[in-house]
This record gives sequence, C-alpha cells and structure tokens, in this order.
Amino acid sequence: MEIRVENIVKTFQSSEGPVTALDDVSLTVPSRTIMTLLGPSGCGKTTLLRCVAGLETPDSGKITLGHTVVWAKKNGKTTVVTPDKRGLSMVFQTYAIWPHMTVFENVAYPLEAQGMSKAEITSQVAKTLKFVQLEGFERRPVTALSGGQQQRVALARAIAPEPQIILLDEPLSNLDAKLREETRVVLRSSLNKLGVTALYVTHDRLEAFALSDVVVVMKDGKIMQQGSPEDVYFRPNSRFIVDFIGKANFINGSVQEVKKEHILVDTGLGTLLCQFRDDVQPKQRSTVAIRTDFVEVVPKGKENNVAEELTQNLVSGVVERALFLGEYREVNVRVAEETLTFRLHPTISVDEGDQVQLFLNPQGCHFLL
Amino acid sequence: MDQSKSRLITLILVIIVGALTLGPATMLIIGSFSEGFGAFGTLTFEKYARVYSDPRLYGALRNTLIFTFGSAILATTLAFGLAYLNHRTDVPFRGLLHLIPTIPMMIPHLAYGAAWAILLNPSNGIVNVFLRDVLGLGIINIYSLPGMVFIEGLLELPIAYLVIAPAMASFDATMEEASWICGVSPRKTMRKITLKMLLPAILAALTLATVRSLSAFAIPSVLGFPNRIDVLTTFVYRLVSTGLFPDYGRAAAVGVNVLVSAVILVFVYRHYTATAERFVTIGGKGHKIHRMKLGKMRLPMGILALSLGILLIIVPVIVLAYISVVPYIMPPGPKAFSMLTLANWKAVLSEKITLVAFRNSTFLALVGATVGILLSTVVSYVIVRIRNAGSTVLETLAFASFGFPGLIIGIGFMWALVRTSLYATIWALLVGYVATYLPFGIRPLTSTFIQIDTDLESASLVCGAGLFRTFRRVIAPLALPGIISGWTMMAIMFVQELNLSVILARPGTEVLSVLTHRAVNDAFWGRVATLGVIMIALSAVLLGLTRIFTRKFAS
Ligand SMILES: Nc1ncnc2c1ncn2[C@@H]1O[C@H](COP(=O)(O)OP(=O)(O)OP(=O)(O)O)[C@@H](O)[C@H]1O
Ligand SMILES: [Mg+2]
Repeated sequence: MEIRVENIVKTFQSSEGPVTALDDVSLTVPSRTIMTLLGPSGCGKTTLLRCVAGLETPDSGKITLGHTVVWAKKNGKTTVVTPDKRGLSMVFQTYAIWPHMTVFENVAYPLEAQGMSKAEITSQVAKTLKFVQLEGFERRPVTALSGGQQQRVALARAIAPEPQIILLDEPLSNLDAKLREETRVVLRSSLNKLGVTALYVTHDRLEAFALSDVVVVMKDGKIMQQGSPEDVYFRPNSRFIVDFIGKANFINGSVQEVKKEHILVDTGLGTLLCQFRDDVQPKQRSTVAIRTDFVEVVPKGKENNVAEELTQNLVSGVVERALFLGEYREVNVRVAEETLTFRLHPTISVDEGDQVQLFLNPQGCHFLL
Repeated sequence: MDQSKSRLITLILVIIVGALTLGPATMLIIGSFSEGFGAFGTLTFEKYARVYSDPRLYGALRNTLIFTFGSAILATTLAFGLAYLNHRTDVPFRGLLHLIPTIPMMIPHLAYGAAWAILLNPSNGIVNVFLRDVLGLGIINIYSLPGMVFIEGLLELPIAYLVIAPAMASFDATMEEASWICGVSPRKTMRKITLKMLLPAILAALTLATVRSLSAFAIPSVLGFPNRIDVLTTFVYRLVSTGLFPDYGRAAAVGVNVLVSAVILVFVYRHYTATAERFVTIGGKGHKIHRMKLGKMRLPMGILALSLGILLIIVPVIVLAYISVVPYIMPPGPKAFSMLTLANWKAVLSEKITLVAFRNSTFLALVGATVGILLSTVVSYVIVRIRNAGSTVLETLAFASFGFPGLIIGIGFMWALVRTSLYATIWALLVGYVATYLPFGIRPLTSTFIQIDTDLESASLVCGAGLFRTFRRVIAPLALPGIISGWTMMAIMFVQELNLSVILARPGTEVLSVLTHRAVNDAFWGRVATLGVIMIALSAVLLGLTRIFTRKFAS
C-alpha cells in the first residue's frame, strides 16, 4: 500500500513563537518499499511520521494511504481519519510497550482490537514471537526484559496484525552499538519478507543506507534530497548532504569547461576534474567539495597507475599532521594554499613532514551550487 | 567507612528507633493482657472479653469501615481528577491548582472540622440557617456519617494527590498513542491503558488515605461526638477519658487491632508504590506531554477545580477568623458587623492555661522538630549509605511506624511511661511526637541522600577527612535544604498534633490542640475559632521563618 504525502505544513507554538517543523513536504512511498527519513535532530522527521500516523494534525496538505485520504485540508474543509482507524502499525522510539501487560498481552492487543478469536490470537502471537525470536517469553512481564528484548516485543506488536504499512521511529536508537548493527540486518530482511511499506525515521546514516530502498534527507522541515542510498552517497546535491553523509573539504572554484564525463574546475589546488553535472556554465563560481575518503596516495614514479585522462587530479603536498585511528589514518596535507583533511587506509604509513602525491578521485569531487 | 564503626552506629540507631517504635507497640500488647494500669498483674484475657462483647464496639467498627473507606475513596477520586486536570489537560489556572494540595497542611484538622460545624451544624450552622430560614429548604446535617466522610475526604485529598500526581506527571503519553495505533479508540484506551497503568499509584493513594483516616481522631471527635457516632479512635478515647477509672486495658485491647490493621495497610501501600515505580521506569525519556483539549469545558472545569481549593483553604480560614470576632454564631451581615468584638481573643489570651499551652506547643515544635530531624538525618543516612542487616531493620521499622495511629500508640506510651519519671511531663510528649512522626522526617531525607552522589563523600574521605568531618563539611551542607524542609514540616505537624497529645497531656502539659479539643467538646465555638487562628498563625510563622532563613542561606 502506497503512502502519499502532499504539501504538508506543520507549525508548533512554542514559548519563542511559532516553529515550522514541516515546511511544504511532499513524498511518496511506493508500495512494499522501505523509505528512511534521515536528518539531524529537530529537522521534523518524527513530526512527519506522526502526521502520517494521525498523532499530529498538520496545518494544511493531504495524506493518502493506498486509495484512502486520511487527512486533507483544503479551502477550510477537513477530512480526518483518527489514528485508530488508519490501519497502520508503528514502532515507537521508546517502544511504548505496556508495563502492566505480559509479552503475550502486548502482542495480542492489536489482534483483540481487530476482533480476532482467542484461538486465532494465540496462534498468531506464537507465530509472531517466533519470527522475532521471543518464543517462550509469552508469560514474562515486559518490565523483566532487556532493552533488546523490549525492542523486539515492540516490533512483534507492530507486525502481528500483518499490516500493509508500518512506521518506525528510531527503533534501534536505544540499543547499544553492537546489538544495533545486528538488529539492522535482521530488521531489513524481516521487513522485506513481510512485504510491507515502511517509513523509517533515523538520524544514523549507516542505518539509513543499510535498511532502505529510498533515502530522504531532511533539514529544517524541508526535503533536501531523495534517492537510493547510492544516489545520495555518490551524487550529493548540496553542501548539507555532503556534510551529513560523510566528511569533506570545501574550497572555492570556478568552472573552466563542461566536458562529456566530467567538469573542469579551477581551484586553489589547480584545475581539478569534478563529477559531471549539466546545469553549470563556464565561469560559474561556487564551492567544490573534496571528500576525505575519495583519495589515494600515489608514490613517485607510480603515476602510470592513474588513468591518463585523470592525471589532472594528482596533487602533491606536505603532511602537516597524521593521526592513527585504527580503521583509518586521518592526515592533514598542505597543498598550495590549502590544508586538506583525508582519510587514508591504515596500512599506508605517512609521517608529519613527508612529501606525498595524492590522487583525488573525481567521483569524490563535487562542484556544488 | 570503617566496618566496625558503621556497625556500632547502626546498632545504636536500631536500639533507639526500636525503642521508640516497637517499645510503645509492645507495651500496648502487654497492656491489653494486663490486669490493671501501672501494675501488669497476671496475664489475662479479661479486657478482650469485656471489650469485644460490647455491642457498641461493633457499631463503632461499622462506622469506622464506612468512614475510613468512604473518605479514602472520596479523597482518591478527587485527587485523581485534580491531578488529571493539572497534568493531562489544558485546564486554566494550572499554577494555582498545583498549590491547592500543599496548603491545607497549615490548617489543623480540628479547626477545619470546627469551621464546617460552624457552617453546617443542624441547629445554628450559618449555611443551614440560610437554607432553612431564607430559602425554606431542608438542612445539611454535618453531624452525620456522610458529613464526616466528606470532610475527612477533603482533608486526605492532599496526601492522595501527592501520591498520584507524580505518577500522572511522568506518564508517558506514547503509551496511549501506541494503543490508538493498534486500532483502539481513545475512550477504550483510557480504560485499558491509562487507568490500568495508573492503577498502582491510585491504589497506593487509596491505601495511604485509608491508613490516615483509620487513625483520624479530629474529625470524628468534632463531627461525630454530638450524635454519638463513634469510630474506633473515638471509641478508644472514650474508654480512657470518661468514667472515674479510665480503662487503658480495654483501650489497648481495641488498639492492638487498629495498630495491626494500620501496619498491614502500610505494607500494602509499599507494594503498590513499588509497582508504580516499576511502571514508570520502563516508560521513555523525553516524552512530550499531550494535553487533552477541554474545549467548551475548559473554564467550567477550571472553576470546579478552583472551588475545591476554596473549600479546602479559603472557607475554613475565613470562617475561623470571622467567628473569632463575633460574640456567637451568626450569619455575616450588618448586625454581625455592628457587634464585632475582641471578647474571644481577650478571654483566650488572658487565661493562664493558654499561655502554658502556647509555650508547650512552641517548645515541642522547635525542640521536638530539631531532635526529630537530627535523628531522621542520621537514620536516613545509615539506611541509604550503609547497606547491612541493621539498616534494613531500620528501614522496615521506619516504614512500619509510618502507619502508627497516634492515639493508639499514645496509649502504648502511657503503658510504657506510667512508671517512669517522664510520665506527665512535657518530655513524654516530646518522646511521643518524635517517635510517631519519625517516618515523616526519614522518608524525605532518604530521597535527599539518594540524590547526593557517593563520589562527593568518597572525595572528602580520600582527602583525609574523617567520617564526622565529612558528614559535617560535605554531607550535611548538601542535604541542608532537605533537612530544613523536613524540619519545617515536622514543626508544623507538631503545632497541630492532637492524636497523641489528647492521650499524653496532663495538667500543666496541655498544648494548643488539646485546649481546642476541650473547647470543641464544650461547643465554645468562639474559643475554638480563636485557638484555631492562633495555631494557623503559628504554623505560618514557622513556615515564613524557614523560608526567610533558606533564602538568606542560599544567597
Ligand atoms: N509538541 C511540540 N511542541 C512544540 N514544538 C515541537 C513539538 N514537537 C516537535 N516540535 C519542534 O518541531 C521540530 C521538529 O521536531 P521533530 O521531533 O519532528 O524532530 P526530529 O527530526 O524527530 O528530531 P530527533 O532526531 O531529535 O528526534 C523541532 O524544532 C521541535 O522542537
Ligand atoms: Mg524524532
């Protein structure tokens, strides 16, 4: 079942005046797709999710689930379907599992609401608990569960009624790092297996990449970019996205020439090949982002390892600082007037004062508008 | 800390607290099996046989059940409503509504009951006169079981609120949202989720209010006395206060059962509070509070809640102040205002006994609260910081005695002190006060100490400061706000103390509340009102002084 959100605006009244949490947001989650809403704290992710759930009332716009308009306000006429009638499921960040009930009662709750028979409920709960690997926990009070187990009860409660749409608000954020990584994988395969349409909120980009078919990056109540994880990672469209999905150096540049596969940009490092885009003109000035992890050290004399047409992007400089951080080495390299930060593979040892030649992969050089 | 030293301190405290709590309780039990007062004689069941064959006891028992549960249910219902309005809706005047449950502490129950008797007694109650003579309607007789239930219910409202409100405030609204999402309507969610999750807190409030109204003496004695509506406390009081030979044996025989019931209830209460806390901790952090929009009902609900405050606070104070300056109960009006007089004040203030009582009350408040809070501080510290068998015993003792009914334990003290030189001295009252109200100091201070990080103490110990220096230089200053507010609360409770005093006071050791009680029995309403105003003023002065002191200290 598809989720369609059109032109949703939502403002909150706070003590310092109105806060716009959602500023004319539109998006469509195609049927059976996992979409994540990614963005920094306070960008409106939760608010959007809650509008879809019906827990928050937008100021204007339209929300459609499948073929049913569940919320719309146009010309003073409002259509409202209350949350209990929207037929979707939700996993809350704090789990919101009821402490006065056992695991069984929590999971059975939505099924009872649907008027299922006792026998059906028992078998459905058993099936669901097996799915989330909580068999044998039926009689446990939920107050006697670990964080990870509570999270699975919350998930079980959401999937037990076999919903077509499931909303998840940072369901993994209360787990410790290791458990979070494991659960991420399990969650992805579970959601795929169930064939549901999922809208997933997170501020963790790894989680977003690992889980979703489509990533939507938000900032200040607006959608900044939307696409597959690869799309967003390899073709960031703004400085905000570059910053959010990784680390980069930002330098000034002006377009020299738009070529077939790349654009040539004059910068303080010399003329660099940057990722192609067709919406720029020669002489246009703006910022170039040089990603910290799209770099290789090319020893003197090994320049032939770099393809002929890309030698443009070889630059040399002096290492000013080198930090060993385990997974990578973080080095500051002085190239001409600029100091750039790069992440090198930990096996490549460099020392402060070393002269190095670096190849800046054009895939990691973005001319930003 | 040094193991042997901490063990010694714990042992000393266990002996002191044990003597103060188990001592009178044990003496009560022994007394109930004794032949006479003062000399125990041989073991006998005679007192039990006599008192439990008295049909009046069963009347009192029936009244007690109705009075106790009735007022507890009323108080809990009102407290729940008020807490719900305050924490979960957009009711207006929220700032004011939060104050309502805290102020009535300042008003002695006896004076409060008297104010209502002045308004609603069947012969010349001001409101009743108006209903009958002006409107030609029937009267409301406050000298009845429903009247007693209503007034005691209002008085237990604050304590019930203090138990329910925190649970309501920390209630995680996503628990309700999760239920809506599951397809359950808001109305059904209220029943299946909200009420169920708050149930332990509600039951805790209900039990606590029950314990308190079980030991209540003031309201039954003001409002029950005229029509001889006895509850167990007034029944026991009558056994020791009337007739030529007060029968402490029979009183003890009844009292033992009241005491046991109270202690059981207190442990039931503990069970529910523990459940309530477990329910809260699972809830999330940083939840948003969704306030229900009351819409058209917003203002009416606000006014309804405020009127509760008016009934609780404004009415009694105004009534008492007014009655203290008119010659007899009369409706306010031109006639009354032309007859304003200070006669009551002059009479009360010129009597020697008033000065004695005022001196005794002030002494007990100041010295008693100081002794009480010092003991509470040390005991709480040991309970929180030294975890050994002794501290567990201390905690249990402090908790069990939380439910001790003052009047019953007073009879235990009579048995305990009758052959000592403390008997009939002001020190008997002091010991009794400290013993009975110790839990009220220990409980808040325990939470104060829990909030002080152990590392702060360890740091001082590591710096080479000894235990006592650490306590004086680090712990005490950090705990000082808690200690001061505990002291204030105890001092105010001691000014108003009636239940123990009415048993333990002897000629020369009367306190203000005992004088008020006598005036109530004689239906000298002008005197009652005057003494009531004096007690309220004394409490207010104590509160004001500590406020000023705290502010000075903070700056
Ligand atoms: N009930 C509310 N009242 C007032 N302001 C609110 C309310 N809920 C959200 N906001 C504001 O709306 C904005 C968006 O909040 P939202 O909770 O949607 O952020 P978020 O993207 O989920 O952030 P996080 O990652 O921290 O959960 C924030 O500025 C927040 O302060
Ligand atoms: Mg959020």
